[in-house]
Order: sequence, then structure tokens, then C-alpha cells
Amino acid sequence: MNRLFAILFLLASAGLLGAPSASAADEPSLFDLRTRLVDQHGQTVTLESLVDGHATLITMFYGSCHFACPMLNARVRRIEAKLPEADRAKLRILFVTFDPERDTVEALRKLEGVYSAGQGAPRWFLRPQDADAVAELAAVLGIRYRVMSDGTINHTSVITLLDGHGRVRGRMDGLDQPDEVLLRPLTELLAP
Amino acid sequence: MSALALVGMLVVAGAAPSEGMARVGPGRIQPAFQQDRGDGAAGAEIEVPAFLLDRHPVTNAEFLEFVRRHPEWQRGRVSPLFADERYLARWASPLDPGPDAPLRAPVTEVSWFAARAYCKSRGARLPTENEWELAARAGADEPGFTARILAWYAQPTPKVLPEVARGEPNAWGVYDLHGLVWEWVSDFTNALVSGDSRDPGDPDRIQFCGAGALALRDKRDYATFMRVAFRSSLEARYSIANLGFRCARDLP
Repeated sequence: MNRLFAILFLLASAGLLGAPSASAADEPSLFDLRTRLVDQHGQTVTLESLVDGHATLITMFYGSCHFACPMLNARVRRIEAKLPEADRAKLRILFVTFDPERDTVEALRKLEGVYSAGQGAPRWFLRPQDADAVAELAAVLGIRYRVMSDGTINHTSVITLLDGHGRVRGRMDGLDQPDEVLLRPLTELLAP
Repeated sequence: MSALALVGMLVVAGAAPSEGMARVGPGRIQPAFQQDRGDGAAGAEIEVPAFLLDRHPVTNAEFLEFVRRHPEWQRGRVSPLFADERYLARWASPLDPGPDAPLRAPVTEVSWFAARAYCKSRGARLPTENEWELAARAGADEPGFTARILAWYAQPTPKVLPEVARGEPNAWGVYDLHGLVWEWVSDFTNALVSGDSRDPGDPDRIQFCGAGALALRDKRDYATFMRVAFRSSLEARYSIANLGFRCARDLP
């Protein structure tokens, strides 16, 4: 794969690619997406109504994923466990499926049982209305994925921290990152 | 092939041959990315159903009409969630492409979100990577095909882009798939590349759910490889000077 990175480097140095940067203050809100989701109770919700002023961890997964997705969940739980107990209730956690066809409301409710065991922050398990809405949400979260012919979905494991206004305040891209990548900004957000 | 081009032309009977959409496919391609099942077997070709594809990339004139009707996509009004700061930067003003963006030249500096919104407004969509590659493969058996594309990739982007549909259409009746601008596809995040995930115990297995490997159908096909590399470097809000788009649609 080294050749690929060599090409990317060449493209980048030729000025073909850009790396736009924005300061945290003028970070856009994910609420602009105005996407409608259905939760594990069958309610239609929006990101805005779910976040509702709370620090929120959002990630994408799918129900029939047996390898990385349980690890993604374990990581969320570990971060949560490192928070003081009083702070956990201030946090919200959103799991959005890549696979709205198979992850029906019923399937999401079952996942809630598996992924929410024990106590912690309130969690929602959500399905976008179609593949198009999945693509859009993945795009704003910077998640890359592809649907394979056998129905598995390869995707990058990204956990994003939003503030109460839906602005990105932290991002763990890959589970090899230390918890502090999210814990530090999360602790700041939860500070009174 | 000419029979297929004829069928395509019937779709826009009465319009100029370079306008409207052409029928492309069905055809078989080997996707740039294939699942590696660990047995060393090459991935199978997949069938791409026939679809309609714009004969030329979307022009500045067409995009101007779109932002007039949809002010939320005008420069200065678009949410920074959907387009970076270079969105339509070469236009003289939000409603005037100006001298650097001739009306018949392809629109560039548009994000994936903006391109999608434009196609949606026409009741269309962006082509998938497989659809685009199928359309772009017409003529691939002719001598010098890849060399000509690579020669274009090596050229710097001119300050003012030339008009669309100046050259010859390919066998499907589609213009400018090579030699004018790079183009968005709907599933550009397909290019899920981070090292070689074929090694057992590779740390990337932690990042990726499922295992995949980059498997080009022909390792000598450097032009396809370049496009995959380019797409893998994109983010949906990027607005780039030599990146435009065209729309596709399912057959009625």
C-alpha cells in the first residue's frame, strides 16, 4: 500500500488536495443535516431532539456485525465508566445503523438489550430512513464504509463527541486511539 | 458498440447529441475493491445494470440555474457542514460565474453534498463508482487508452477550464469522462484504505468491521488506481478546482 500513500502524497503536494481547517468556535452544527431517524421505540426523532443540549457520543454500527461493532460498544462503555457517576446521566449515546433494511425497530430494541446492559448514560439505537440518509450521516461524521456483496459492511470505527449544539468537539478515528482523545473534551464539556 | 450508442441517443431524441442523458450498460466490471476471502481467489466480476448518465459534466450555467432556485446552496449561504470555504470560489459572485467560470465549462469547486443536491433537484442522483467506471471503460481495449488518460492526469489544471463536449463521445455517447475534470461518485468513501488489511492480526482489523483488501482487476491499470487513490483522499465537504460531477438515473 506504500505506493498508494506515495500517490496521495504527490497529489497533496501538487496542491490537488486541500485540508480545510476550522477552529472549534465556528464548527458547523450537525443539526444542519435535518435528518430524521427512527429510534428503538419506533419514534421519529432528529439529532437536535436527541442531543437536546447534552454532550453526546455518536457512532455508526450495524446489528449483524460481529467483530468491530461489539468492540465499538465496549469502547463507549469503557469511556463512560471512567466518568464520575454523576456525570454519566448528563451524557447521551447514539448508535446509528448502516443497515436500516435489516436493523428494524424490533432488531434495534434487541440490540438495546445487548448493548445497554448495566447502567449508564441514556442510549438510543437509530435507523436512518434509507441508504441515502446513511450515506449523508456517514459523510458528516467522516466515516468511510462499503457494502460488500455478502451483506457485510466494512466501515471505519469512528466515535464522535458532540456538544449540546451539535458541534463536533472530539473524534476517535480507529479503536487504537487512547480513551483520552474523547475523555478530555468530554470532561471539559461536562464540567459545571 | 455503435448500436448501444444509438439506443442511448434515442433516449434524448430531438436534443443535440451532446445534451441530455445516455443509456449506459448493462455491463460487467471487476470493482476496484474486492472482498478478500483469504483463499487467494480473485473477486468475481459484478453486473452493473443499465442506467442513464449525463452526456457531459454539469456546467456552470446549469449550476447557476440550480443555485438561483435553491438559495441555500449559494456561496456564502451554504452550511459549512456541507461545503468548505472554497465552494464556488472561482465564481465572480454568488450569482455570477464570471470570466474564470465560462457558462459552458464544467462547474467545479462543488462539494459532494452540493452535487447530490443538484442531481436530486433534477430527480436524478450521482452515479455509483461502478457505474462511472463502467461508462469510463468504453474504448479501454484501444491502444494508448491508458496512456492518454495518464498523460492528462499529469497535466496541471488550467486556470479557466475548457467547455464541455468539445471532443468525441465514447461508445456510449458520453463525453468528457477523461481529459476535462475529475468527477464525484455517490459512494466515494468506498475507498476504504488504511494499510494492507490482508495480513492476519493486522491492527487495521480493529478499525474496520469486516476485512477487505484493495484488489485491482489489473495491477497495470494505473489510471483506475489513480482515481481510487484520489477518491480515497476526498471528504464530502471538499470543494476542489478540478473536481466536478454529472448525474445519473435509473432506467425508467
